[in-house]
Amino acid sequence: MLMVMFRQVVKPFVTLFSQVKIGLTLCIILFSSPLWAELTIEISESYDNAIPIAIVPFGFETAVLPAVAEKNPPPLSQAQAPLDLAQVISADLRRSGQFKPLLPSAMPSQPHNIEQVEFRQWRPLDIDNMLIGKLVDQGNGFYQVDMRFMDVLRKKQVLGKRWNQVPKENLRQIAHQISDLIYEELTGIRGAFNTQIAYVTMRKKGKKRHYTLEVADSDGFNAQAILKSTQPIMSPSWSPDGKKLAYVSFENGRSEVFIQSLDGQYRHKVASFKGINSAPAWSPDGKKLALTLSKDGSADVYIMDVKTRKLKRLTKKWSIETEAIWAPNGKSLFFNSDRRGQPQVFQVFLDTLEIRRVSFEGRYNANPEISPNGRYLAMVHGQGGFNIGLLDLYTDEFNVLTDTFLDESPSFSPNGEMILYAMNRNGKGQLAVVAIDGNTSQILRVKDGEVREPAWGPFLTE
Amino acid sequence: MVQFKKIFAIAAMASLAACSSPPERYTSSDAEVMEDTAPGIQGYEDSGTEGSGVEVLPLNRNGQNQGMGSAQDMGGDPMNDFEEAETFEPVIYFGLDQYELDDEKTKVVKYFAQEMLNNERLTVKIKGHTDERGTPEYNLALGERRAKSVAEAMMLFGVAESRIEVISYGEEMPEEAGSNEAAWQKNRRAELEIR
Repeated sequence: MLMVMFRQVVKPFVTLFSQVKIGLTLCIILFSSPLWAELTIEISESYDNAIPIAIVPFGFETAVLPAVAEKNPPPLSQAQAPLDLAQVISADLRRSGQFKPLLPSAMPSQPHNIEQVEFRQWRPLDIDNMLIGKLVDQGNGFYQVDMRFMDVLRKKQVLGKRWNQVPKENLRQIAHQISDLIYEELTGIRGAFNTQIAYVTMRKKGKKRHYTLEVADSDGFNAQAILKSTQPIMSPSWSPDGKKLAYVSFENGRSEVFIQSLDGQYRHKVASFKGINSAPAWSPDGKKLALTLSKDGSADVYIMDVKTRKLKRLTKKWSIETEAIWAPNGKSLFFNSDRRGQPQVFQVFLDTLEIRRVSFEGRYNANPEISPNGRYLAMVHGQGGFNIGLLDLYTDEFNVLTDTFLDESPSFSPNGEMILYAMNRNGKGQLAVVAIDGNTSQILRVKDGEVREPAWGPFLTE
Repeated sequence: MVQFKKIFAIAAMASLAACSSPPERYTSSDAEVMEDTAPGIQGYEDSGTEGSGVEVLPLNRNGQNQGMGSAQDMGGDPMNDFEEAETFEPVIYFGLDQYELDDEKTKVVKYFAQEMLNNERLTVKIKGHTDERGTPEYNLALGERRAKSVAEAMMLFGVAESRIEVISYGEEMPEEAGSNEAAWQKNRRAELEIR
């Protein structure tokens, strides 16, 4: 069966110029896709018992008939392929910490078709599962991708899929989809490789700071700027459908909340009240936005109906209430309040407006983030330093997951397995990823600047 | 200036036209989402980017609104003449997680409040900042607390509320880069921009 399924590429196509009141430079970048800041990944730890797996380099063939040629074209080599899919898939699986892909140089053979696989070659290498596949040039920049995932023990194919007419620039996404399929097959958990992350970079040119809001694939590739400004950008928050970002921009000299569609269709300023306008968080149904506003005095949490822009005040307190997020069922919100002196996490129930304290461990717990299944609450835990803590809401068990410096802005992968967060290393803001059991971690950094305020996007459904 | 704007507008349209072929994969479901903004709702201002989707970008006026610059630009040299009245830099520094004004800080506020009372035409922007520790959104609120406590003191000294603007930058605009106590101390501040 032939299947064409590739994810929509977030490739905005118009340039919008934004009128700004006091003459600050701001420009929404919505054309082409220059690589603003390739994030590079460094894996610091992985599991001792990572599963060996063989991701065999894909074959590369052409389906294009030699036009006028009488002679046969020279056989294509993998080096000519537009993308080394196996390399992308191996990197994904290795990054999860749960797999140990075999180096191609250590492979006894490199089959591309099932008939070529000699299972007995792979058993001595402890390989229980292997991926083979090929890439076929269909002409005009389109490709066919064919993958077969094999159970070496049972000597049979457990997964097979073919994508047709895939544009060259989508091949990387197909590779991530293959990683997702393998991950789910072997762990039972949906893979989150074919997802995107948003984050803010800051570069200094002389005394001036340049901020960019970027969206990249979960492995840091395909970074695209969607907003550039000389004033700070904060708090990107993905809409549940993955098509919009809400964020805070200081482009008009102070904090205001905007919603921008990633396809460049629109950008709205939704909160520009007196005082601070910050911490946007989408409700699970995408219809409401929790916000922190101080228009009525101190910072409090409000809920805005995105369509009508009507506001409802959720907290009323002299203290700071901010960083609200929605429980996955939409019935309560978690937020940070310093009503007890220092920031702690509280929960407010929408039906009764009853408020309860949630975090008790340590003197500082802020910026809660809830796992997609509602079980875990990640937060910034201050106890001397600042690290990411994880509270199990079922058992009340609390663990500190990270040991980096000035950790903040935790964000769950959409499958709940990993937490992306910001930290500081060598005086520079960088991103890191940690598994929720704390057993594996990676660092993502930009070459020539700082990166912070990460937000992991949702699953992209077709 | 008007001509420049026109040129920019034309350039903007040209660049729009240049890349106006919409990607076919998008057209489906995006339009319906939140197209209807409800202008006129209290407190909401149009961002100016909807509708045609194109707006003119004014020329960047370098340096404006870039904060106070370094404090050394201001004031004279207080060391060499004891006869002169005490002068202050228009910055008030705070302790970790602190936002209240002690006598020392109040003295600084009083000095600038007096300057404002002496010249009715002056207005003040009070910019609250924090160090990088703690979460950015909490720090945005903490920076506002600092700026507000300065604003409240100014009002106590007789400056009309209408002449005071409070802005928080949280941890976003440190005066000094670096992740050490010396830098953090300089970054926990409220800056007074009187003009």
